[in-house]
Amino acid sequence: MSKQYFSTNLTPEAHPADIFCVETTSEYAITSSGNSTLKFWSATSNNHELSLTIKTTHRLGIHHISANKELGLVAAVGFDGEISVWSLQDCSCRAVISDPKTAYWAVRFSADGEFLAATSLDGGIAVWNATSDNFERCGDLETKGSPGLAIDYSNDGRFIASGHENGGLYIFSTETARLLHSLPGHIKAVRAVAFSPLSKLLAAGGDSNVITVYDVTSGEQVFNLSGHSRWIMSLDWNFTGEYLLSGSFDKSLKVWSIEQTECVATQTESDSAVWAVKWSKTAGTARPQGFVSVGIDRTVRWYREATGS
Amino acid sequence: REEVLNKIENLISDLLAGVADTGLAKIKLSNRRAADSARQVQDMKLHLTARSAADTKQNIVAFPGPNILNSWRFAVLMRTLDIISESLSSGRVVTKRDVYYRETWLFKNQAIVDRIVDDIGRTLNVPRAALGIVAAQKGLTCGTFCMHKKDGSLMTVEGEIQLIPPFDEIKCIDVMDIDFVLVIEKEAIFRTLCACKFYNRADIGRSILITGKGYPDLSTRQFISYIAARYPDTPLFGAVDSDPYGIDILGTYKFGSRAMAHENSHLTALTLEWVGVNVLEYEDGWTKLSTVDRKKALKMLTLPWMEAEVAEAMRLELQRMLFLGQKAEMNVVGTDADGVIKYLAQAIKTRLGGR
Repeated sequence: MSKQYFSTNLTPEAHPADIFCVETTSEYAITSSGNSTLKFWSATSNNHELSLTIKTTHRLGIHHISANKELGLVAAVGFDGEISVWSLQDCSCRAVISDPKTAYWAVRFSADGEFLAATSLDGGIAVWNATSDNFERCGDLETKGSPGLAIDYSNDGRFIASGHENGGLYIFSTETARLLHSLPGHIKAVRAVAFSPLSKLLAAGGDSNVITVYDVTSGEQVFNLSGHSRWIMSLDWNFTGEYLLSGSFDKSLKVWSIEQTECVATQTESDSAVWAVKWSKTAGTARPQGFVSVGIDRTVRWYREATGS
Repeated sequence: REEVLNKIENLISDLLAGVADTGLAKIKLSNRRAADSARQVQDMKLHLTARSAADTKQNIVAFPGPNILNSWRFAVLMRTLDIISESLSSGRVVTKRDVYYRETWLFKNQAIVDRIVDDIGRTLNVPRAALGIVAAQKGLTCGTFCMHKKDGSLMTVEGEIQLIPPFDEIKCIDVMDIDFVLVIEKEAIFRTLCACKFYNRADIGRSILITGKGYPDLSTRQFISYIAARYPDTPLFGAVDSDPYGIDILGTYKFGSRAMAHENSHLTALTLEWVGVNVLEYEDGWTKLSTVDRKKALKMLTLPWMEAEVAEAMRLELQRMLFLGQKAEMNVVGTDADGVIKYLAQAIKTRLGGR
């Protein structure tokens, strides 16, 4: 059974360079690019117009974003290796985190907004207290030293997963700060990791072109999703956990049914690599489920499921 | 020439006067690397204070100095000035390698000579060529064209690889109706292109091929800059590896280098168009960006010329390399052995077609 999605809206030339990342909240889709500006696009209006911009200090460009609605904060990581945190209310800068010894790469807020975690190019994972005034560092997880390219927090807050350039894939317990699983299945770079909404499964994808899915508790690899012909750059679960969305260097994005463990839709509107994809978080409203994709073509593309057959 | 000899004479006589005065011989050298804004010392002044609170813009070289290193530096400076005056007086031109080989025990390595010669040029406020010193030629060229030399001779290039002569020997270059010029980073690719007569093809026409064998020397840059200026309607293309060094080399040809900031205007080729290879356009063959590569890429992104609109493609390329953590060498593009030839021919064809 396949699904139909169509592109409802696109904003071409949304940024003057590649759009490296997209994050969604119930209000916005946030995009970042090769310059210092974060752009906030309205998620709720039909034409998804630009609502807000924040000019950051990341002059060299921003490649990762994470937002937390509860905190009203958005964290951005620049190519300069620093993390900056901005308030969504007044667009002020709440914190700048940097480490002279390494560069941060991927970043994620925990679902409850208590913590911010980030991978770095030296392989370590750092955790900060997001509710404290000065974002104090409260934890460090060590891995084998290969740059950490992807990170995710499980929704229940109990786990952190990281994916690395050498194929390393790890699940840590946040309670004990211990490594729970070192997951096999990748010998090339892992570029995206994502926990399912109920924190039961972990999906990982990267340069092997295949998405591997694991049971979080046992660490067992439960199935694979094949179909992309180039590197997988981005993964996101929909809020019910029934579908997984992937964006790839092969210029397409795919929607996978978890129950059937197969691809149910492929979108090829972009003529160049897709760098990031995210489901929109306007679920729970009358709107049918949709998603956003960004990439080299500098266009923010919104998709919605075709309703009715 | 007279002017430079006079300047050197003045330098020495001031120095001697200083010796008579204070018993110490001192010279203030303009340090080219520190002077980003290309300010130059106009007058030679002697300072009476010794110690090397080294002024970042000017180095004080003194004899007798506080230690052996200073005495050595003084000796290096004096001997180089000596060799320069000698060449200028005799009308001979020497290469930097020649200078080095005159006193290897003193100079210790080529880099020392390169630096002191540039420092002298900057201090006396003259281009290096006016000192009678040229770099040993490194650049190669191929195609069908000719160069008129200042000594009256005619150098023809007829499908054979030739060394690009020192620019001061060239009176003018006659490109003889070519369709484009292609500058290639690496010698190996250059030779591959020459071997298959890339400079004369049915689909893209006739061209001149040039390589600087990596970072280009001044003669090569002057050669290209001349052609760009003299033949502004002839497309000028550059092809480099998809790594930070390739982009840097392209930037050197196009915008100049910081080391030679004081001579840049006749060394740049702003119309040079980057044709590849784009880091995204490989089928396979990427390698990991090392920590050193990353540092280089980041450093380049902070350079002032990177913010200009003309550098946009290069800036994006560096960001993509960083984002993917990958780089690739031009020779592995495409799926077969002639991948790079096909790639370049296609890239050039597309660009020529649009004109």
